[in-house]
Amino acid sequence: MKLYNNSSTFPHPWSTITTANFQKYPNPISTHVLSVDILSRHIDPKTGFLHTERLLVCRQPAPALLRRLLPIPDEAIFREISIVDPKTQTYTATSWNLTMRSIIEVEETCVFRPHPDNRWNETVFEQTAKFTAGGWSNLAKMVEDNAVNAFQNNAGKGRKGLELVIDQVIREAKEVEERLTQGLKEVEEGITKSFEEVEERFTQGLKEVEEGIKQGLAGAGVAAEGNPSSGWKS
Amino acid sequence: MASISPECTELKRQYDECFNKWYSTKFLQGDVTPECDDIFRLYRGCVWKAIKEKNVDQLINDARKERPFKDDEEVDVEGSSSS
Repeated sequence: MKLYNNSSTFPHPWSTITTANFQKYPNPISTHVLSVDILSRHIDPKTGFLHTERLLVCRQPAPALLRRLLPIPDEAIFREISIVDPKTQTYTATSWNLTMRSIIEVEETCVFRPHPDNRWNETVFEQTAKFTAGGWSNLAKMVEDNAVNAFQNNAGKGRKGLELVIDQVIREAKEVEERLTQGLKEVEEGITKSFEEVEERFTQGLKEVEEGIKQGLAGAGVAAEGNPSSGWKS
Repeated sequence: MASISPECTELKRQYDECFNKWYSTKFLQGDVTPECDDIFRLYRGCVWKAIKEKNVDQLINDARKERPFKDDEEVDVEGSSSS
């Protein structure tokens, strides 16, 4: 059995990182990932955690020597289960290989959580992987070594790929914010304008009422003056 | 990102777009009301059909037995929804 551990920090908030991570593929770096599908997804009614089950198909890296010795398919299939706890801000994803399990079993766990010293601006990424090849032979050791090397190589790619997607997510968020600000400005302008219109209509209305009252009063005055006299006079 | 079957990729694109928006603007803000269920049902039906055609369903079911995702009943419904 072989273990691989890696930990690093991203200079971005946890919400940005996890948003980007769900959109990580495709990216120009991780070309070995051929397809990603969501098999199932739900929110746990008790905890409020988001559970996601995905299926990833990747091109299989294996040296020619191993390919001659073992029935290694061109494509490897992985199942991944991720859990997002929005309250404590913890993202945990574990994945397992579904193919070649008679040769090697791989279990990878990735965790994203806010940096304890800089909660709102930095995210800590922890990655562990466990490789278990069947038997104790030299071949098993070779298989494990090859898997760890391939994994290390892809881990570096994985970070670079995610960074590209993070930039894209930030760009899109800025655009949305700009559109929102612009929209708000238009709404504000609209409100000011309609206030002015209402005010104008109100003033106009008041004026008309005033005039109406004046006219009415004048009319009433005429009537008051005319009626009794005409009544009396007739 | 491509789906395991090219015929599901467009449904996946629509679902991903809906989910990604919901995740950042609703879920992370504390609103857990689902919004993408209809498109997800269509997409998942397409994917499970492809998974069965490629004989990957048995691999998934074996893995689920070992490490369940949700209760078995739900998993069965999903597994058979596209057949």
